[in-house]
Amino acid sequence: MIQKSRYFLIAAAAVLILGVGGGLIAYLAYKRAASLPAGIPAEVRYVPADAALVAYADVRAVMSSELRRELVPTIETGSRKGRQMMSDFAGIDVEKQVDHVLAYVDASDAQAPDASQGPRAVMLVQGTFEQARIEQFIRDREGTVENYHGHSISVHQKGQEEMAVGFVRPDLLAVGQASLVRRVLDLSNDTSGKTQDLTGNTELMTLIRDASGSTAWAVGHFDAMSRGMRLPTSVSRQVPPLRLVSAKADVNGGVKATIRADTADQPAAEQLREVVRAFVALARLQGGGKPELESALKSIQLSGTDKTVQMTFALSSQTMRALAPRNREPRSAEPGTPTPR
Amino acid sequence: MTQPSFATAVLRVFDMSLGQMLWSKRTVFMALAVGAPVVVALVLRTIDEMGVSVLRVNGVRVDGAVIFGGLFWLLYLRFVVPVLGAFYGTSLMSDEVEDRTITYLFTRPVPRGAVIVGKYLAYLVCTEMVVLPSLTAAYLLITPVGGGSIGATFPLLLTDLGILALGLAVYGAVFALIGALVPHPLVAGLVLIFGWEQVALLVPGYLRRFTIAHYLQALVPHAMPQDDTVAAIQALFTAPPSMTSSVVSLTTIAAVALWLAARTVEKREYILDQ
Repeated sequence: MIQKSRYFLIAAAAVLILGVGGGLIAYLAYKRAASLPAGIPAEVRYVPADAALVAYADVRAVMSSELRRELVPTIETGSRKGRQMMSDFAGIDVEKQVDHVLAYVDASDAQAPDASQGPRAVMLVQGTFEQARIEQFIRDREGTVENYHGHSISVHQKGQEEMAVGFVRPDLLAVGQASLVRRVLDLSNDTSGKTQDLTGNTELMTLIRDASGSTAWAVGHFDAMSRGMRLPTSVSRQVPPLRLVSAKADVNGGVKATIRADTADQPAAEQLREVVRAFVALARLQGGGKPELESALKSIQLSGTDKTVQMTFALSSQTMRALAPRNREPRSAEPGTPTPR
Repeated sequence: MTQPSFATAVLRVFDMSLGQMLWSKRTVFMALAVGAPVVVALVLRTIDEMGVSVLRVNGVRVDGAVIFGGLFWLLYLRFVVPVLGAFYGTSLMSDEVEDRTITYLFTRPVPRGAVIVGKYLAYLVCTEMVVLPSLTAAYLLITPVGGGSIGATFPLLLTDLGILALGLAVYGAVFALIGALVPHPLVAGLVLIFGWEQVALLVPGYLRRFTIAHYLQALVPHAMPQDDTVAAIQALFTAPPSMTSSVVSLTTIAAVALWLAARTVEKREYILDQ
């Protein structure tokens, strides 16, 4: 083989090896970025990095838990509200069709001036759905079905708000304000990795990693969480400056919950511990006479290091029954029904 | 003088033929054929870098991976691979006959079959070392257009490289056989690519099973462009074979065609024009 041919072949092989090698490096980097630790739902990729609050619930685990079976007669009316909402809006049967739900509150909601309005949030519902049936359901309620960048999105005008159900994948729905649902679909279309999703938010991801594996959890910035909980101003003023809050719960025969707060500095953490201790002492005084609360109050443990304050407690099914809003008493008599004498 | 083994003879013919092929006039054509997609990719990438949306379908921006898929189908699979196979494959023996140099090869102490196998291997190296880097360069240039991701689509590139390598091997072997059999093999080769294969793919029934394109196209991971009537009809009638059966069929076609070509060269008496 002449030298010219040899040089040509070496150059061609170099281009091929460099190209394939570069592609391989990009692929490995992509795979590494795409892989999430076990227990973290893959839907976090569709949540924007600046989300104020992220919450997760393993609906199937809750539905099949012993606790639910025990509590159904007591809290049926209350739990039915959430299910009814999903059913009314998208024709989804939560109990049968949903595996888990990941929800987030948009960061813009944290700066929203009007706290009386509901939060700007999206629920990513993973389960088994019939797309045609959901679309027909929304059409029947004067909604419209559109194609948004290759995804089906069903939009429904609800007063001033535009609500939507978007199919991220056949087994994943985004439900919420239309603009936020479109943002989720944009994130799901972005294969370049240029748009920052929640995995790029190291603070929230650290909390999510810590909470992953639990039946339900919520992590977020305290501002957003306190708005969501509608804490009275008098109470929120008493709370030392908090940055991040997380809560996780393992549900089976009872509930084992952990609440963790990250404060701005160490003195704030100390102050918070004092406040919590005082509340716990007060609760023990108040609930001392109630046997159903006694075990729960005894299980409270306060811990934490540096800027972190952590509280764990366990609620048995009896305690949950005592705390849960009771089912309404059955009506004694319908009009026209003879009353027993 | 002892006759070298078949493998040694193949390597000697390969070494001699590779240089001849690389620096023949056909290389200019090959450079143009494989350079065109790279130039197209470069232009599209430049336009994209300037902030202009390269391609939109129904108002939606098409990303680089989709454009690359179209480029692969239209330029590489339907044009570059079969045409290079025809140009080089048919010339493996016919050039020696036309140049009246076949006598020098056949008077050497090597098996006749080794001549065509060595030349076929030289063809494979020559074409694949040009086509595969071209595809890789086009992929790297075009995929990031419109927000496409190299990392996400890299496995498709490996599949595409495999398809082109296999396609060149199969077309080359079939055209080597045609070159060993018929007097004007290039015409026959072009008729086969642009006549028989195109018609057989469109006709409903089993005829398409007698084309290379049928098996090769079944391996392509990109969606077939539906921009013309021919593609639409083809898609309508096509029931693509499975990946395994396609690979087995293509490998069998290449092996049988090469064996028949070697056997033809062994048996045939070449009469040179005076």
